[in-house]
Amino acid sequence: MLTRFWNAYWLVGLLALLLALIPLVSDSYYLLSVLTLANLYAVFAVSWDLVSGYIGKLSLGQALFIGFGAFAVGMYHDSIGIIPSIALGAIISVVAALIIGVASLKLTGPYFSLTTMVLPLIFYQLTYTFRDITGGEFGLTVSAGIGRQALFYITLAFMLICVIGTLMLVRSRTGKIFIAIREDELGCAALGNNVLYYKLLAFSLSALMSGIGGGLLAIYLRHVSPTVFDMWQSITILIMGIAGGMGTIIGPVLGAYGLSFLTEWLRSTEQFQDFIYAGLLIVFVMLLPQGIITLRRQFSALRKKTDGKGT
Amino acid sequence: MIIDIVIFGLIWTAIYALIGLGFSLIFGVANIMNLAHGAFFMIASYIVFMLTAQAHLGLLWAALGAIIFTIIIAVLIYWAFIRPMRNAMTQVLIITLALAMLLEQIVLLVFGPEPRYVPSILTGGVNILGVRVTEQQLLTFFIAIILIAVVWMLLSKTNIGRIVRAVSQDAEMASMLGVDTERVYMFVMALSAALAATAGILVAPFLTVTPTMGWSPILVAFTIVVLGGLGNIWGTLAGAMIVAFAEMITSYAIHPQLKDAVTFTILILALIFKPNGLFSREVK
Amino acid sequence: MSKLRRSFTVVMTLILALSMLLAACGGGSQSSDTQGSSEGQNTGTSGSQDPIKIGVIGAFQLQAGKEIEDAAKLAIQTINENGGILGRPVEAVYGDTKANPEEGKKVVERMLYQDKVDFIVGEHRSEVALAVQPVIMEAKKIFMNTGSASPKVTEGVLNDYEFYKYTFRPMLDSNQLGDGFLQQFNDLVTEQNFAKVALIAESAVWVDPIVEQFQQIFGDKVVYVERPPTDTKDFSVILSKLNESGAEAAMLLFSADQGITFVRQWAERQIPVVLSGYVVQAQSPDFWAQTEGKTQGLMTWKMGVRSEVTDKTIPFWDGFEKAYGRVPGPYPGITTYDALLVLADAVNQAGTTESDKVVEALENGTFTGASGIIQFREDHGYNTGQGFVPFTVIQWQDGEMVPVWPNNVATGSMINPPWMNEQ
Repeated sequence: MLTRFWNAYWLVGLLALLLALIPLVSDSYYLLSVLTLANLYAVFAVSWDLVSGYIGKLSLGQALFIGFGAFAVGMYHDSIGIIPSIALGAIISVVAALIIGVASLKLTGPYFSLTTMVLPLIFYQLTYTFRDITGGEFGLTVSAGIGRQALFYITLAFMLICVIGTLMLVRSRTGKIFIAIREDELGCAALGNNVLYYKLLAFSLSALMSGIGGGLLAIYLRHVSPTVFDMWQSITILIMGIAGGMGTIIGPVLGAYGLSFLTEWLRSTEQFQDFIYAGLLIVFVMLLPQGIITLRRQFSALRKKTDGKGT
Repeated sequence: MIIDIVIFGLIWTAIYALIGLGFSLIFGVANIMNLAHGAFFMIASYIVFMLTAQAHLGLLWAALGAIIFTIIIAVLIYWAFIRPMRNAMTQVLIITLALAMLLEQIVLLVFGPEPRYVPSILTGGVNILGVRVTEQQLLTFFIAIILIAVVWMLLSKTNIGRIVRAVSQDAEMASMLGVDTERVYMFVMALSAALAATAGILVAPFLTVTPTMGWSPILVAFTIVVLGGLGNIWGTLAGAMIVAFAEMITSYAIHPQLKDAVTFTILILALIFKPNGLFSREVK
Repeated sequence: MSKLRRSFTVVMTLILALSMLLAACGGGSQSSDTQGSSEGQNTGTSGSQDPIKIGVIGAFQLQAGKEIEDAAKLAIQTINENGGILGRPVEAVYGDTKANPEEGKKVVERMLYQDKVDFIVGEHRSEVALAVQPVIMEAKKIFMNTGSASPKVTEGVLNDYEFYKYTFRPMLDSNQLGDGFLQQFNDLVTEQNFAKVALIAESAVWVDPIVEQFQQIFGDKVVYVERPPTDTKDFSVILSKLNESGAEAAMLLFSADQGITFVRQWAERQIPVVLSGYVVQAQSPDFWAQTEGKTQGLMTWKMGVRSEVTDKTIPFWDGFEKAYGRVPGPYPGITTYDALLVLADAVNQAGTTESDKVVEALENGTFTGASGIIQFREDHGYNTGQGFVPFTVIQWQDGEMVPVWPNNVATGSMINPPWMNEQ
């Protein structure tokens, strides 16, 4: 039901509206903070889904582009200003995506996925090596002078734009080609489509969104450090996407907000937290690989199956 | 200096080859990219630690126990988690990754974050051409080479090996001819885990045993697979040699800090130009 | 199976939905201590029996962070046994920052706005400390940073006093550390008449200035300098080069996992070089076992040694050992312990928990900690050296961490690694 056209748009709009109203009813800095971060993760999860869910190439390293965006802001916001530095981060991410994409998207099999997994790890080390510009283990401070509420609304707007934009993209002809690539790459190519072009398109758009999001993340954290390339960053986004529902765009959005809240609720479990995350991921892949978003569809399908059989 | 590079390069080639071989095998034969491979490496080290430090077993018994335990875990993982979705590469990737993280967390919870130690099987060192090498490193080298030779013989000369190769080439045909492909996959999984475990046991005494020690082997294994091609023993050896010597040469002659940049470059170049391995004749 | 699947997924969905609801209403974070715990919202009152809440942050899953947690528990217990602060019991709220600035920010915001802590203490990772600092300053709460060495943490106090004045760092900064390493190494070289020295220091920002100074001080004597990446796992190459260089002593600067491997390989190959400097893992009691005794003769900076620096030093050491079955390890333990005791003293002196008044008390007072006499400087770091908090170096001797420098703290004399005893 929710993957039908207009329903998804309504849902996103409603969500955004609800979120926009929250600062007016609650003055908790803490809640605002959690939601700002959730807005950003919604974008990361959606950008992940574009590549993993739509063209079917599983990305295990979304953190790479987030890191590029964040470090661009960290390194250059003083010299060229906040907005130009965000733009720079976006450009770097897209260029990187093109290079990596050309190298690995042509290949069948898991090469792309493994490359995405391995690259953030390499860049993590590189930020230590080139510490004169990246600040090494201390990282870089980012002072943007943007107030909490303002940042919240900026990220909310950013989320809205990205999600609606992506929804429109996947509903368009381009989106259908994405799905065709995922389902049957050879067949799609046989019809005359330049498959590599479409793959690169999806990958670059994904990098673009994550890159800008990364820049905003640096502003939110007021700090950038090598941990932005950490594997857990990519895994968290993965969990959000899978739990929400790969290949639906709206699923990962819900997954992002849901998991952000779950994290806070689980905070009391302390050292078991990461264990629970890994467990959740396994449970979802085993039992609900389509994600929560398709739950209703699965329910009604199951119900229909048992109707009229009298078992 | 050149002697150092050659000697340590050879030692690390053997180690990397051991790590990469298991990874390459399970991928080549069953088309499973097992991201938990590094976790097997890590778990074996911890089990040796536990058996020697806490149960006070002799080293050889501990090593044996570690290998057996790792094999059991690997086969269980295959049967419970991988087999149901063997055909969906995406799911396999995610689930092996999740399992790798789960295992890491379990080890963290049980053993804590402090680095642990695994005693060396052999103490003492020898002088080879002026370079002092520990006996443990020599032992590692020889055991690795012997194991690789054994696996090679297994795959190319024995009946089992023939069946495995048949399955890797065309599983459907093999099963129509009466081969129980599931059993074959489980066998390869066990073999792969055994190799990873052995690597962990041999190498642990001269590295630090921490819950996160399984990730760098994955990076190495992946690079080797890309360079050497799949399930191809000679390819794995060649790939291991390239990676090991590239690292040694960078550390000695250029700059240790650039080691990671070099790995990165090798990987990207290999992916762009020779994704099926340096020795493949196929065009893709 | 499908029925099981269905019910399982229903349960999962309900759990997720419930958790979202609960989180929105605000669950309590883990707080514990001698006087019970608090859940849910805290309505601030000024009742005299209301506990004073102190947030303790650190990467509790790492060795150094665990040390922070344990030391904090010990300190709070001690404070409460002595009547608490201003007659009120002290309650700690623990937050695991996982060495991740993002996580740290979330943890700190929760502590400030949900649990409503009065003070925050801890954190040994500079990148996390720097990330959470503005958040705490914004809330005008006192932050006692007990572990990170980055000078940036205290820079703000000088540049923007009004905003940053609530930051205090009862811990050496990297410049003071550098001075300490160089001084001790210099004494070693002078005493033993070494003509050739080496430096093996990880590639990290905090090390860079020290490397420069080293080369300036030792000039021609320096025969080998190596800057391995922090994740270096194998030192075969480096040890070969060290051996070939002819160095007699080497200064090590390792703040990550390099220590165990380096020391083991050094001993196994019997490299004839005396080692001193900073090996973070060598501060831990487990190090002897971890290296199978191969660390015999290694010297490292260790903060908090079993020697009478002040009258609190040995009781802290023994008390810690009694409580946890192991001797104190990495440095953030003793600094956190001191930070809490100093904070207690300052609040008692100020007579109120109001941040501004406590800041004054901290700035103007002189306090006795287990690590030395604590007096804060203008930038809210503190004075080190004789009469304040000494820079102390231990040497591993037969399974014990023996203080060997400076002389007035030393309880034993320096020895050589066993294979170097022919000299």
